[in-house]
Amino acid sequence: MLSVKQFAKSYNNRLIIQLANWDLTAGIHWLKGQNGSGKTTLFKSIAGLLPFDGTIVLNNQFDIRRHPIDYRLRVNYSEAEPVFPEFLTAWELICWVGAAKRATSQQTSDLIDAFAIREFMKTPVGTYSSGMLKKTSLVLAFLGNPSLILLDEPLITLDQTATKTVIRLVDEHHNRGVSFLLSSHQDFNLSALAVDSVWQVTNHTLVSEPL
Amino acid sequence: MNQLITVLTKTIVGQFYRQNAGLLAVVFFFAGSFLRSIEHIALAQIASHSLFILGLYIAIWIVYAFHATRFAIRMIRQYDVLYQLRLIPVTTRLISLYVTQLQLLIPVLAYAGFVLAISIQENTTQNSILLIISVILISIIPLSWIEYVLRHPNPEPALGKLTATVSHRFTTPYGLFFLRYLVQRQLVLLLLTKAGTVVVVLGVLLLYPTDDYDIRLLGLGVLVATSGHAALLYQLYQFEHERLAIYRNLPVSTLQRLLRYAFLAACIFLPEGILLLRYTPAELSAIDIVSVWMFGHSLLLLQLAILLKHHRPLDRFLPVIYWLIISGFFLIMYQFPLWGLAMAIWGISGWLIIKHYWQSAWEIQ
Repeated sequence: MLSVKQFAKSYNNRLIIQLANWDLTAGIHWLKGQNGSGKTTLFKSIAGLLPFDGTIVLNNQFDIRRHPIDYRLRVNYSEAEPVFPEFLTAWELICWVGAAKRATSQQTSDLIDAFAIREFMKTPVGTYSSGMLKKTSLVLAFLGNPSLILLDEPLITLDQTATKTVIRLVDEHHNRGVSFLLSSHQDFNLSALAVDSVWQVTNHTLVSEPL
Repeated sequence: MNQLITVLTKTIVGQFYRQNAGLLAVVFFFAGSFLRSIEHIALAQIASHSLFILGLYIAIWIVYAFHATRFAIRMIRQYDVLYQLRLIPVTTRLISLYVTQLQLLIPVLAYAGFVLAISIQENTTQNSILLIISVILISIIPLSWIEYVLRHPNPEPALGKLTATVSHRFTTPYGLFFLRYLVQRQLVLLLLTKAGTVVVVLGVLLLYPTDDYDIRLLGLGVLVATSGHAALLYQLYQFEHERLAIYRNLPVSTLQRLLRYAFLAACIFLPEGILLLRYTPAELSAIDIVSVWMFGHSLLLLQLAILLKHHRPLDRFLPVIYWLIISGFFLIMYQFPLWGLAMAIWGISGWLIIKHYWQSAWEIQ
């Protein structure tokens, strides 16, 4: 599903993470690692937010550099700590991202209801709590028809109902063939999710861990 | 008290100068490039004799003090912990806040000191005393505002209902996100930049008919005016990387992104474009005016392209702009046609943006 080759990412000549050859099959994959180990950097690189050395190809077909539009239509991302312009509303962000990701109005409406953001979505993001901001970011991550969704710390700051919603949506989308790359300090094995592989960031690279 | 001042310095003063680096750069750019030291001295001499000119100086300092105090209040509201200042004994609190206020007013104090020195040299006692009293008031009065804010935490926004109504009824298209950001978050920078650049363009347009000038005069005016936009364009670069990072995850082609930048540059350069149309010198044709506008637009796009090619902090970006001015000056003076320069700069900018857009990253040095 996702093929990462000769990948390396550094900041100011300081190596953050490198992967010689990392192939992910379709499914749900859990990335673990200490704070600052490079998980978010890897997520942002795969999402196309950061430049890097190496290649990333989705479904043996869509190269992040050679097919930037097709790739980004199929890879969605939710940040661990989302930052949006304070003056925009969640609704404006959803309309903008939804149009680009070709989401239907029905899907948009369903996601808004699933995360219960309808009540506040037309107020500026600057007035949101961290949980409301996180829900907005998660709605954006599920918009369109992605093949891979990257969820960086999807459960932090969420209430119990929203946590259950995330787990349910991941499960439903997984059953429809969508793959997930998740990073979380919470133990996904404790939830109902069928995690296919677990990876630990160690010494600037990824090491497979037993399930 | 020292620890309290350190906290206020880090949370308010440091943030103020960091976040207003663009605004201050624009002010220093215009103050340093259009007025030589001899002209600053001459103006100060006039101010020491003229209440009106001194009043203009004081008015500018009041605007700056208002901006700085408003920023301090925004920081207090942002960092809830600063509301704990209310628990500190009033004398300690006021002294700490006053030291903070003085740090925020350093540019005003420095320039006021310079004007005062000239005023003393000129033996104009009345204006010197007026200047001293004004500066003392400018530094003290904001304390009452800050004190009021500390006593009334988390107020309901005055325009809250109006903003809510607008937000409920309208959505902003992506092309206008940055313009909204400028209007809502960087209004002072926007107004100062546009005031400066509009004055330059208007100046050369009014100067044109007074002598035997040619289109090169307009070219030079637009070159200086577009260079004055450096801090504004830096805001766009920073805004997209820091607050709209998700844009890079959206399926939008590089060409579309380039066209959106071109649209934004056209919006930013609209006031100057209107002036070019309104005050077209009789000797120039419509094609001449269009070529001047094209030249200005291409220079804005080039600055953005330079930022995307290689990340630089603002202070390292401004020297690049100076080189741009010097190069542009020679090209114009050697009579390269403006339309030709515009086409070449558009080509270079487009190439740079397409080649480097995806490699561009906001990296903290």
